[in-house]
Amino acid sequence: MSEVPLEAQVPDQRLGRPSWTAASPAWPVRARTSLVGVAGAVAAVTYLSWLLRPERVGHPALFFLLVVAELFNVVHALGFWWTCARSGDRPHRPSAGLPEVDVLIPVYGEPVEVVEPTVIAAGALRGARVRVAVLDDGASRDMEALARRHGARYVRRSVHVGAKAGNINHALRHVHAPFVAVFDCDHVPAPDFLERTLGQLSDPGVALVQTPQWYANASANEVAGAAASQQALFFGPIARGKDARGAMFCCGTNMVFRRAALDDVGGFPEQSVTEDFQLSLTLQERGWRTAYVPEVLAQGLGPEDMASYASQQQRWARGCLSAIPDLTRAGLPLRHKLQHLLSASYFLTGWTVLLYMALPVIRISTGAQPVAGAGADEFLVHFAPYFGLALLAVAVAGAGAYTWRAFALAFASWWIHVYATVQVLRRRPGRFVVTPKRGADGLQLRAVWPSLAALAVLVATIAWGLWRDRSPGTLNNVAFASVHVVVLATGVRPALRRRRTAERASAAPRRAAA
Amino acid sequence: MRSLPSLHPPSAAVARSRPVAHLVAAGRDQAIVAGGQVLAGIGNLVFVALAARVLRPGAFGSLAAFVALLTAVHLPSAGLAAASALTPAGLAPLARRAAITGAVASVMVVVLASPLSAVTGLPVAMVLALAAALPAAPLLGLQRGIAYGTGRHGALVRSLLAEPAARLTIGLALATVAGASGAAWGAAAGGWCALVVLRRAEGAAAVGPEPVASREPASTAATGRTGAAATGVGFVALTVLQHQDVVVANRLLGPADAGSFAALSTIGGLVAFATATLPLVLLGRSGPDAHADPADGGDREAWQVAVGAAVGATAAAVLLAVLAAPSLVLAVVGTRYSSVSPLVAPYLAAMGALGVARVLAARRCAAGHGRRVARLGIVAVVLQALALAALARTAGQVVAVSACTLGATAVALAAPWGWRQAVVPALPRPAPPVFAHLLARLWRRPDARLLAGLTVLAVVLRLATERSFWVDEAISVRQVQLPLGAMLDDLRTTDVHPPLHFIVLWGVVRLLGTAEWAVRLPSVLFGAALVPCLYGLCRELFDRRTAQVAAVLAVPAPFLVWYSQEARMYALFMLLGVGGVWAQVAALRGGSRRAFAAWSVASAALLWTQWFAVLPLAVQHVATAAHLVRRRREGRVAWVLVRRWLGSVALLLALVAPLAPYLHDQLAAYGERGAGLSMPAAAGADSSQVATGLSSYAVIANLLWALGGYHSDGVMVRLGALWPLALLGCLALLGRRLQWVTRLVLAVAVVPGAALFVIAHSKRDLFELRYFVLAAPLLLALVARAVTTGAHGRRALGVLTAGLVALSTAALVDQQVNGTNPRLYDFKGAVAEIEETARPGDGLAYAPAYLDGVLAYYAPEMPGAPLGSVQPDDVDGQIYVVVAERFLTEASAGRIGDALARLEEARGAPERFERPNVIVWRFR
Repeated sequence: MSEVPLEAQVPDQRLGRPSWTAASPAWPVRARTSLVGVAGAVAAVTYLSWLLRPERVGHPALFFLLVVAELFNVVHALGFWWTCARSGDRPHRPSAGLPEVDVLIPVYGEPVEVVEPTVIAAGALRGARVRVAVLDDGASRDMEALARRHGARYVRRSVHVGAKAGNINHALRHVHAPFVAVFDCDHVPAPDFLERTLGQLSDPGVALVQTPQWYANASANEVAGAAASQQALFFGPIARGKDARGAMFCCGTNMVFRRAALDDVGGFPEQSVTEDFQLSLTLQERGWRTAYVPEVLAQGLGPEDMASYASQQQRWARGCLSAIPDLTRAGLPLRHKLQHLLSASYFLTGWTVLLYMALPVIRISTGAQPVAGAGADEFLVHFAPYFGLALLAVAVAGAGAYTWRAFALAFASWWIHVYATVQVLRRRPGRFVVTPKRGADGLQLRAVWPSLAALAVLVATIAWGLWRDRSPGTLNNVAFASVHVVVLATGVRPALRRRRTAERASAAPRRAAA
Repeated sequence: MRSLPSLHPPSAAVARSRPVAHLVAAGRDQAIVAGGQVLAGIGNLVFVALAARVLRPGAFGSLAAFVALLTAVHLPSAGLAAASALTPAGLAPLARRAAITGAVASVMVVVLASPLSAVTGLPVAMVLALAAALPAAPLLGLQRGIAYGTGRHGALVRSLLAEPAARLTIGLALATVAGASGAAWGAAAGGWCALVVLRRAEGAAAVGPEPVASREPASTAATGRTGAAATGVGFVALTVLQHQDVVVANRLLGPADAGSFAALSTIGGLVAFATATLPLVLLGRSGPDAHADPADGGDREAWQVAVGAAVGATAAAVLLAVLAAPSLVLAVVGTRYSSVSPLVAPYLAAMGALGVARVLAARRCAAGHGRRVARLGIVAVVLQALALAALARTAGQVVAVSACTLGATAVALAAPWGWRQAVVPALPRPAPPVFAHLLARLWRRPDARLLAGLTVLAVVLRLATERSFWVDEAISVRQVQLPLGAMLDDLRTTDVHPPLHFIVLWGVVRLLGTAEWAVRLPSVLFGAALVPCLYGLCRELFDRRTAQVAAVLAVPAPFLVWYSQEARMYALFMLLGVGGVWAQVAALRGGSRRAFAAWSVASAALLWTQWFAVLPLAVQHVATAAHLVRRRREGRVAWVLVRRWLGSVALLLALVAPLAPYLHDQLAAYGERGAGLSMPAAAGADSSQVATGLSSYAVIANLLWALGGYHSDGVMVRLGALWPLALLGCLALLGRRLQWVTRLVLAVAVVPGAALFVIAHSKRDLFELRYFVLAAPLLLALVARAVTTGAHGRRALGVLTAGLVALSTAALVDQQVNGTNPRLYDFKGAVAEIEETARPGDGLAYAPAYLDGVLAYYAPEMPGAPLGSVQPDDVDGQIYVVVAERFLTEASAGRIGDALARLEEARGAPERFERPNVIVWRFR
């Protein structure tokens, strides 16, 4: 273990107090969430009952697609409300004694200054006798020196298969503590991480304790901030709700396993790019339970540019979508299946976005529209409550954590979902690409070109529509297209501007003067 | 200056005898001055009695009216006398300014002599006499006050006696030669004589040895001119309280009751007159510049004497009334008013209460509470006026209202609570004039110049209109031309609005006439005042930048401009509503009594303006309750806040209580008329095709009107189709925590409209933006907030604001000049075009029938009748048929078609021309 105090060695934004809490909000917020959920469910049913009538069919194919998309979104909305309806914090359980814990930190080409605070913090964990191991798949001498510098074990394998899962499995053969903690190399754990989590493993049926992922660079970077906001929505009300229903799953970092459970399922699955999700399914099929502690006990670095974000989302989308067939076949209780399906199928929302963007373009250019037999005001009366309550549910349940930029970023990532779906259907193997921990400075048009293309089409359509005719019907579709333009433009904006000096300076961990 | 403590303590005997000596001294002063006052009163009474014998009845009536006007002119002098009695040294330098003010007023009266003569019904010579009296009025008040303050009671009495002496000599002499005008000039000369006597006495006092009972007043601990000004205002208010009831009664009561009350007032005035000098003498003895030698007594004994004298005089008068009211009435006003005998005692008690209130007010002012006295006085005046307007129908009711008001005022002044020891600032040397000082302070405030410029711009923009009156405005013009009582009765039985705006308009019409610009001027001013008010609201709610943006956006805001150009209550409603929200937030944040009181007053005025005010007021109070509960939950409860809120509710209820019978009468009349009015209930619902039904488009239309003003149906439908853009607003709110003040403003803006939307399912007419018009300025405030939080950097803020201003301006231009705007009715233009070809003997026929008011306004000379009642042979000359198409229903359109066909059959094919929303057929 390093003898140099952590704060004196490497002052880093990941060492400060987190600016967000995953804990359950006060009961008025929970009550409001439930109320909004019930109202939203009623509104959704009302909307669908209005839509699903023979007289509403305009262009049949478009109507069919619209119905599929709306059903998909309604299912997800109902799922969100169902998940968030139960939200309570697990009572803290102190751990007994000082168990042994192996702390594994997989590394693959990350900069030493990113990894070092993690290693130091891992060595300073309280509440257990920890043995830290740096699992270097990059075979870096600097990383080896880092490990030795801080008294951590340096593990390198000669055969690189299975990406991160394979790296961990290889390390598991060389460590034997009854508990295993895994941290991504950029996620610095708080000293009381084990004190706050090990107690949950006193229940012999619990295989895994997961804690939130939070990005310490959220306030300094636009993309990281939006990504952190998305994480806050998942690791806040959604994770709490899943945990209340016993359906929380492993998220890849900031977690503690029972070694026996890992051995029972043969370690991390190496065939998926989202090995964590797959591992959770396997554990639960074997009867193990998971636990979620809604406390930010480790802080990492979120993606700081669009390319990093897209890479991360692609990996998650591919992994989750490819797990859907296994999910449907898994021997899990129905509520667990539904919960996992909701999470996995989230990465199909890009298709609905694509459809919604296409509809005004089709209407303006060809005149075809999906819905007939109803005026725009009738549509508004039935759609607006459902849409408004869905947004309100997100706002209330997230307690303000989910932001406009997060929404825009997710919206602008539609093409990732589409691409991932196509790749999964074509059974193309995915590559495990490490999310870069440092943002690139230049323009990143390639990372957002599909959205840029969509923008161009939408803008051209708007101009064409306004030039050709300004009837109320056209204006209505122009307005919809304009909304998509604004949201897309907001989502892709970080890729179209160079990062400011302040962002770069604040994002990089700083070295203390020797 | 207070006396220095004696170096040698007095002996016990001397100490015991001092209070008695002080009482005697104080009583002596009071007796001297009161005696002079009574003698002067008798002298004036003799003058009036002799003038009645010398002059013809009509001339005597004119003289009586002139004397009443002269009394009114001297009304501010009463306040000046009180102020200068309090701080004679402080206000003495104002003599020159007072003289200039009087001279300027005199010049103005001379210049406006002709119109004033027409308005008052007095000959020009009498108006000129009034002008001659004006310069002396403020000087006389000032000098008398100084005399009170410096203890020159002898000079004071001589001055008091000089006035009736001049009237009796000069006045009567001129009356025999020049009639009433001569008597009037004599009365004017009386004031000058009184002034000269005082000035000569002041000069003699400066030359001769200093009297024992006075010394050069020091000003080290004076209340300052601000306190003196407040004292003056307070005493003016009390004087208004004295005379207001007879003025209002004359307007509201029938001739018999008005005469009875005038008789009562004459009797009651004796008590008020007799006790008028008590507070002034008290001010001289008790004020910080007290003149008295300590050996003559301090302020405690003076106060005891004064209040004792007031109470004693009242008690004596009431006792006399109880024992011999009929004899008293007979002696003063004759047998004709014997029926008022039962009311004499209560009214004398009321006047006695006024006398006691004056003494108490003097005591409070001397203790440095002049501002509170002024505020209390103004509130009492307003309450009395409102109560009289709402309740007074007989002489007895007027007496009851006066007794309650005056009694409550006296109690409020006597109550020991709430009168904390005031901090008395030292008189600054040299002290600038009060109002100039206030103006300078205001001008130095941040954004003062910006606001001044924006407000001026707003006035100019709102004055720039050629818009014709529409139906509601013409109805208002007809109503306010009635006598006040008749107007209130008309409103009670035919209208559905409270009377405040109509009362304001009534006064404006009396002053400025019924020209379009005059009738719309109050709305113009209220609408322009909304600019700084909105600034103040946003400054209180958010920050200075948001306030600036809100003020800038308010200037060209089309909806705000529209109702600033309409002679209806909507501009006033918006101004009061915004002010109320401002006061509410200030109250909840700071907890000050003043803010809570301001909120109550604004809320009451809002309800006095339009009944729908109950909706935003309910929202405000529910929000207040929720806010206090939340504070309690957070452990930040402040019970003083709760108490003051409840107190403000009580004040609000007290201020609106007089409206209850008025509302009852209106509801009863509304019910008797059957469902709906015969008037167009809402131009929006009937005139626009966009918002006919209760649909989402109706909601969108009202929202668009609030933000962008009124436009043609085509424009509105197209704008409504852009509703998806509102989704961006919803999305932009993700992740933002709204402050409680933002939620409050949003609730006050939206909830009333939502409530009316629900109610409108049973009565469609009710969902109309005018009935929740407060939404417009509040939404503007929220837009300003969105701009300042959404724009990053000053450049972005400037661009965004400029863009919105440009958009608003474009919308304003379209609203004002686009002839297809369904709310633009050009009756004026139609009548102007008619008059180009009209000849004597021509007639008007119109549909619907309620166009009579607006056509009578623009074409008063041309006879008109509803189209349905006009036969082709009824009019010898041409028949002009004027139709406002958008007001027609299917059934009435059919009947009009039949009528037109009959006319065409009889007179041949007509010529037709159109003005915006008005069609005219000309049948030769």
